[in-house]
Amino acid sequence: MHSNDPTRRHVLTGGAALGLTLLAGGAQALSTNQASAFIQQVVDQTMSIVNSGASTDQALVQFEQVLARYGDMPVVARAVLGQPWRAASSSQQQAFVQAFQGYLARKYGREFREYRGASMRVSGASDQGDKGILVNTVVDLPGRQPFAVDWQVSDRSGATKLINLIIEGVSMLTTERSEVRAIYESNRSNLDATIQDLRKRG
Amino acid sequence: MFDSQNSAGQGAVVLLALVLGACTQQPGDTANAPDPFEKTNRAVHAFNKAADRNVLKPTSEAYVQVVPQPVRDGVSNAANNLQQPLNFVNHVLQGDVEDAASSAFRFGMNTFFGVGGLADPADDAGLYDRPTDFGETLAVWGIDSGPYIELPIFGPSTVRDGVGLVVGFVADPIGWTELRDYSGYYIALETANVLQQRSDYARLIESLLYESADSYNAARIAYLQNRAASLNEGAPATDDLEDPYAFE
Repeated sequence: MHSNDPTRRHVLTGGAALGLTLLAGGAQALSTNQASAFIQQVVDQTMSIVNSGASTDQALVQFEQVLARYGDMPVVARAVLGQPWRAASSSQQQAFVQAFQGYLARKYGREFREYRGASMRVSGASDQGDKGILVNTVVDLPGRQPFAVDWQVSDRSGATKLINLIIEGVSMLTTERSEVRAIYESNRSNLDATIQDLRKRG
Repeated sequence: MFDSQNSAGQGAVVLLALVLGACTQQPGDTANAPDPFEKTNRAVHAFNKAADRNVLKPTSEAYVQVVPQPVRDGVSNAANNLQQPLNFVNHVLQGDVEDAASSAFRFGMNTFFGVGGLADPADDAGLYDRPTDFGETLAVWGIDSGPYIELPIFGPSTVRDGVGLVVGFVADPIGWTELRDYSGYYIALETANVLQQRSDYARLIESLLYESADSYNAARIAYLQNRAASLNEGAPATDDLEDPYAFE
């Protein structure tokens, strides 16, 4: 209703531009320290689930909450699905993100359940430019040699988010792109059937 | 197998140079790395999976159930101890003095104070195993991995690591000593150790082989990326990192 008021429109446009600048500036400003502190939080929550007395089913639900909160799920799901994402309707895209998030939480949650009794500490971080910041953690599990879990973090969506998990060098993004492609193909390239299938997996 | 190891070893190295000269591979982007032997590899993978399901897995489960843990620990320690001379050689060839010394001390300590390698006092002293192999030595020498291959029984490998495996058998210092007369026991020990490892990594193997939609590719990616990281002192190869924001 103020659309004819040039001053107000100018202020609004200016404000939006300022906001965008701040966002863009923020995206470049994510430091290795901030990314490490962020991952420390993720690690603390993950390990408290791992070492709690929760049943497997309870733990997997809790892992999914952590993933939904800290992970950039729409971006990860989109990158993993690849080409079929572009042809999908927005409701299919949403359903896929949800199904993939649940699948990922179950699959990697089960892996993390194996770390019961372990401690996980942040051991370093490096700036990888456009690929975000790689935060290194070391898992100390009694009776096993310490091993590396690395976390790729970025704030290119506007907030600091987890975008990949690398266990002993093996990338979740790489692995799951291959898996989702195979599941999609075994469902005769039908996305709805793929989503149904993912809900049962992991 | 241990006879005339010198000429066999030289032959293998020449063969290796020929094979690797023919196939070089760009670093990075593991998932999309060319897989020229995919058809054969998939056939071998199907064979390996059947061998695991029908032989290795049930035998491993029986071994872990029947043989008491202290005995199994002794077997694993002894098998590990007998790998140390070859580890030493490879660390030396890689110019890694610290790890070479560690392997040598570990072997000495566990052989003399660990009941011939059945116990592992070196581990308690903080002298951890520094596993390596001839494939790693070749990598340190700047030789490319070559294409991915899945070997029967031995599983995921590359041309370079496969050649390294063969050279490792031939060049093993254990085979140069009087111990070669006991190679039957050695093979039995290694076999028992494999059964133990199938059990130690049961969760990972189940997930890769039996819960993956494409177990061949899952195993290929896991091997290539894990191998790249272990050749890089545990850190993932950063030129292999992905940018998920690039896809819109």
